[in-house]
Amino acid sequence: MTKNNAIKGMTSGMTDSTTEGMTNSMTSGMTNGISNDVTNSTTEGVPKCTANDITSGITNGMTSGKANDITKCTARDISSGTVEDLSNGISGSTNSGSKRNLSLFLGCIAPNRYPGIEIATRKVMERLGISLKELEGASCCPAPGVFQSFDKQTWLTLASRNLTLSEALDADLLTVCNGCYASLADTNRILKEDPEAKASVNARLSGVNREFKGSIEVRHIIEYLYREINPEKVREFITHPLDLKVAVHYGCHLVKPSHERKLGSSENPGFFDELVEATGAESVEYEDKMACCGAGGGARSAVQDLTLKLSTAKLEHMQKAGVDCIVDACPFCHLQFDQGQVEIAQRFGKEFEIPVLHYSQLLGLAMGYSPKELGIHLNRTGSTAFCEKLEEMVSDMFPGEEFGKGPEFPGDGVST
Amino acid sequence: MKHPIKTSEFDTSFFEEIKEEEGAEKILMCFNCKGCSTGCPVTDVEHGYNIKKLLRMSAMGLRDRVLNSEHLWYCTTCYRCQERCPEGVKTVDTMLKLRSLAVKSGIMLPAHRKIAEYVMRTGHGVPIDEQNRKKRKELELDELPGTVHSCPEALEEVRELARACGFDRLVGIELPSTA
Repeated sequence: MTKNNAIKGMTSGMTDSTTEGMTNSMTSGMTNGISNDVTNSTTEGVPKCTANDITSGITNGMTSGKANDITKCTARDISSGTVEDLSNGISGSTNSGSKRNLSLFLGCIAPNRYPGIEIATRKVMERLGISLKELEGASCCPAPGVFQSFDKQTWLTLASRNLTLSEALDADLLTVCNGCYASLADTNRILKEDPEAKASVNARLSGVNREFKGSIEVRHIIEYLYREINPEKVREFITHPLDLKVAVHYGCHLVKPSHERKLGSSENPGFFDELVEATGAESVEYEDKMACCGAGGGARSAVQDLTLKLSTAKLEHMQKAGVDCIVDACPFCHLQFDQGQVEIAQRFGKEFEIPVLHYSQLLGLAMGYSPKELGIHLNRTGSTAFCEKLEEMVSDMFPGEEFGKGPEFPGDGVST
Repeated sequence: MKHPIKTSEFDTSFFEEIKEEEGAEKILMCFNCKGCSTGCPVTDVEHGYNIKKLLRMSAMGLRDRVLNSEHLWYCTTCYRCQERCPEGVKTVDTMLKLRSLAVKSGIMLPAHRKIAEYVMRTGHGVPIDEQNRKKRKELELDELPGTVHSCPEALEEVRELARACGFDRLVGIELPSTA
């Protein structure tokens, strides 16, 4: 069978098995198609494919064909990278009825290694008028890669305990960390969908007088701000627009596995960039932007030098593109880049001096909080020069005024 | 791995154990497109690392070779391979299952055992230290976060649950009951 016959056979097979939503652009885009045997699809049509990089035709999820209408495909406009039909993606508010309460899940690295991330989060959420309930007695999420490498039942049990803390407050749980997001959102989903798993976990939780009910959602600050507040509204709160070139680092567990996360493309997303640009900063394109920092999966503990090589690759690409700082959504990536640059300099002799910020800290700066108030000066890498640059920027914008004492912020927070 | 495989090394029960993880049987769908390794950030810097190979060896039942492989611990769980696999092989999820089978058979890296110990003793995989208590104070936060660090009853719950899961015995850490 020649390649042409394969393509013809494939496309006709697809047109037989799809519903009317299926356009030609999908089939013609698959010229290099590594696709699956689509004839296995049910007549309901092609499944909710996370068709990402269509130009090289690697598609996912087309094996068992339990399908939805093709318009639910999270396919993006590949050429310009703008977001198109994301009817099932991250286009809007979750519309979860009345505005839900939120609890703040701290995790480990933010409170215990980078408390600047914690204080920045508290400050910016307060400024946005979003109140956060305290989750007393929360533990390690537990770290998803590490604990799933040990024992899945333990991982589910410890994670579910954290979820019950938020359920008791009748609040959705907000994380600021990709790892915590993975553990808690995945556990929440697994226990909601699998009655056996839920029963098994609840049998253990009953020993500490707790019960997982499946009554809340788990949110990550980035997707929460994007969907519930949206970048345009965030922009209204900016008093100190930042003239910075930023290397946006999504990390891995915020967007993958994409089928479960339902946040759109994991190969070429845009929502975090939009939030960064709402602060006035410019999100700079750099090579292999979606690559992993290296820290996860217990690798940083197991094979640290190896993971630092992954970080070095990212830093080299960022440096080549010319950036003022890195902005991340995860304290572990944050640590890997910040602490990591010190380790890379010591062990590999390469210096980058690129300061590392969590999004909450970038947003805080744009809202007029000083680097000191946001704990940026406590970083191990490149913070002095960066802070000086910021001070200069502020004195240019508001002569005679200091950071942290900027003009009155507009309004009373986000209207509910 | 220079020595050739002997058929006596095949252990079909190994694959049966792996299949406890939902979707793990999809390894059998792999047709060697190598999309996984092509996008793997670890393979970029460590050319010998090959997730497809590890999974294929597992499907063949090569228990000892897989569970004793140092490569088993290289994966950062970035999920890029699992995203891209055209056959829907659960590459990362199966890898995590393999790791838990290793731990079950007593194979665990000292650094990982340390993290397990931290979680059971303090409730945090990365517990607070002196330096960071000072940082918190400087930022006008409570020196100890409002997590298990500030809540002994909560910590006891975590330990109780770890015991209920047999986690203490699994990783070989003594966790005497304080009840």
